[in-house]
Amino acid sequence: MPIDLGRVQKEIRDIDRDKASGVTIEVQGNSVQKLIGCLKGPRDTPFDGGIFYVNIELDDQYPFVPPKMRFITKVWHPNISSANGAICLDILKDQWSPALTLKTALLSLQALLSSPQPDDPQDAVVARQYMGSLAEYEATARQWTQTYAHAQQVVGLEAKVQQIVEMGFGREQALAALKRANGDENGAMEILLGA
Amino acid sequence: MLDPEDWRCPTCLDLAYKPAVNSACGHVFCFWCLHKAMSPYAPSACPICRAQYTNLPAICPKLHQFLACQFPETYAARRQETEEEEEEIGAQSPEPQASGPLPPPAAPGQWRPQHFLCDSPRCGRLLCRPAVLICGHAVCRDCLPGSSGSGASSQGTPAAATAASSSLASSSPGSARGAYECPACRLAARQPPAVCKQLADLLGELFAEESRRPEAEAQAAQEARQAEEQAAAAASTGTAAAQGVNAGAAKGHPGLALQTPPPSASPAGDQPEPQEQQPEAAPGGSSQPGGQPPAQAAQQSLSPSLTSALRRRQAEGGAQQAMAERLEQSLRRMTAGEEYVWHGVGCDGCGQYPIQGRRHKCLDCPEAIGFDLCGACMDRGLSDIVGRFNQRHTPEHRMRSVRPRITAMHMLKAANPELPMEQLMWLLEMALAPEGEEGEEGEEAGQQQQQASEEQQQQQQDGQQQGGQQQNDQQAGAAGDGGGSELLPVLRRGPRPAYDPAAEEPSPAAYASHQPQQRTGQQGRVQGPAGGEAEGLIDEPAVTEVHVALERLLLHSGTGSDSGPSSGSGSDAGGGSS
Ligand SMILES: [Zn+2]
Ligand SMILES: [Zn+2]
Ligand SMILES: [Zn+2]
Ligand SMILES: [Zn+2]
Ligand SMILES: [Zn+2]
Ligand SMILES: [Zn+2]
Repeated sequence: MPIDLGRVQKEIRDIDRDKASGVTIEVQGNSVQKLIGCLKGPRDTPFDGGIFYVNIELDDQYPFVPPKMRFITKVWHPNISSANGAICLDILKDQWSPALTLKTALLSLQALLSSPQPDDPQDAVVARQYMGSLAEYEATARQWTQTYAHAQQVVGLEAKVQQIVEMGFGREQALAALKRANGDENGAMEILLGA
Repeated sequence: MLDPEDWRCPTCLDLAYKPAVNSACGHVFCFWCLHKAMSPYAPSACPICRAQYTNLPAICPKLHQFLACQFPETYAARRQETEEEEEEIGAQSPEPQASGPLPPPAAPGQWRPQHFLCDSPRCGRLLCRPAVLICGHAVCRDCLPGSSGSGASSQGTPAAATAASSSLASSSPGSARGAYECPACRLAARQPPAVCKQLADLLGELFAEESRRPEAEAQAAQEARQAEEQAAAAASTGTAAAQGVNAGAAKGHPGLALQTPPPSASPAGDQPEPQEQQPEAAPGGSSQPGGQPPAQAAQQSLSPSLTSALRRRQAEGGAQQAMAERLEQSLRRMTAGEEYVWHGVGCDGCGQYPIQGRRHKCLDCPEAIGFDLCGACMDRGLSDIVGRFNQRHTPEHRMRSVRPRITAMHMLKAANPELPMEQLMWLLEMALAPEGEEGEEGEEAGQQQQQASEEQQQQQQDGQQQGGQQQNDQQAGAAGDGGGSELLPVLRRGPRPAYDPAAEEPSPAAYASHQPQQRTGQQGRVQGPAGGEAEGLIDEPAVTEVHVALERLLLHSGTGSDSGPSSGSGSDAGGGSS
């Protein structure tokens, strides 16, 4: 059975309408099964001021199986892999319910940023630091936010993505290449052309 | 409550079509949505409140009539959509019968109390604090016979309690006959039905006057009943506490415990002798629930090849021995008497899904989705039952009880009795997912899922080295990109046709075309004369490819012997002789 298009479209419309929620979502290309979510770093956390992109993939059986989510923006957080953005959050796994939505999932990610759960870590190194020295953890997380998720950074990144997209590459491809090239657009182009 | 938004199904976010009410909590969904949200392996959780439910309820005729007349255009569009989808999956939802004495109103909004009468023949008044039961009937909560408190937990034995760590057994005291019986059709529920708040609010809005009057009476009646229930609850606190402990234990998940040991150097010479390997004194024999002849039931379900594989493991000593003993013990418990769970098979009488305990299958219903009854529904007798999926079953059809059979999922569960099925599914899915997912993370600490997935991958590799043609094919399929996505849906939730482990092909359409052959095959094996009663046992044909592959992986990889998994005609012969 194909994915329930109606439901996904309703979800997207609902997120677009609700400007106050602080999360947005965007379709990649022409399939609604690949999306990019975006959320703001919560106030009074090391992620404050950051803008975080999340890659979202929907299985054909969505919403009866959870959406696959992974941070595109690099994050320093016990429940998020610092290497590949993989997320450890129960509602994205066995605690998913079909009554949850992409919006509630993105809001949960925002909540996860505010309240790490080091008992169930995704990134053991970060978790160890979090348990051992909170101040050190916060400093690193803040630094990562500034380096990878800061507004100017992101606005700049967005411009670079657009540039690459205009040259005929997919948005996700462009983002991934920029990530690998540490934000250097020439480096990203080399990666894309070399691949 | 006259706004279509109030009747939006929480899972498709559309107007609920053919509404079904989860009687455990009173939440309203489309029939199909509520079914798709169910787990084929274990009790399901309400998508909204996570209340546990074990039965797929029938469509509620009253709500169906209300929505169809109140929102005619939207409902018609929903009908069309749903019917197209049904066409695609090759299954149908039944058309609800008339919901009361009055014909539906001519125009939206012209509702009269006669459209919402209690279905209890002893009441017949406007519904008050309505509960919608698993049969779809709506009755006043106070028109239900209260839980007598007896019966419900009388069956629990210590052994059953340990087996109940899955929370499945503990939630379905199979013998609660008479408790929560529908006053209209006598169908008994295993769980107390909850008031449907949406319907109650609607009635309050439509009939403010009329619905206020009985409220005071109801209040008094309710208080009396609550006192009664409290007394009953006090009697069964023990069980509740045990459940709490189990839930707690499930939290600390130690990852997949089922390990395939490294390939041993033992030559494949020690061929098993299936017929003689019947369990005389199983290690777990002593802990069987008493009374029944559980050993016999277990003998029927643990196939000779499975038994001998486990025995071989036990003979190998050390950790393997302990593991094999534990496995065998769990498997025997899981397959004894009322414990066995029919993954992916639902009862068309009461909607229990998956069926637990006895299963009776119709040999004559042609629908791909099949027609099955649980033991309780079979015993109740059936005349004009309409299947949950509109099967045209008749009393003349022949019903046969099906022999329990161990599948890979049972083994996985037996090896990890402390993990809830949902979590097992998740771990399995991770293990089978195309590689590169959690990739070169390398951080072992704390990440159970990851560990488990690595173990599982290790197993897969071990298995692969052992050879076995089919297995290799299967592995290749799982590792490849497209292959993985074809395999995985079989393991997930979803509409029933795709999950029936009895189906050789995951696609219901393919199953339909196989069906006639399979049926004749089964008839050949049926013992005893044909007739309406369930005498001889039948065996289900092969499980899915995935199950077969997993079985090989988990049990046969260490031996190199090519004795097939427990399906197939060889083991049937052994079972038939008992
Ligand atoms: Zn729905
Ligand atoms: Zn609920
Ligand atoms: Zn009544
Ligand atoms: Zn009924
Ligand atoms: Zn039943
Ligand atoms: Zn039939």
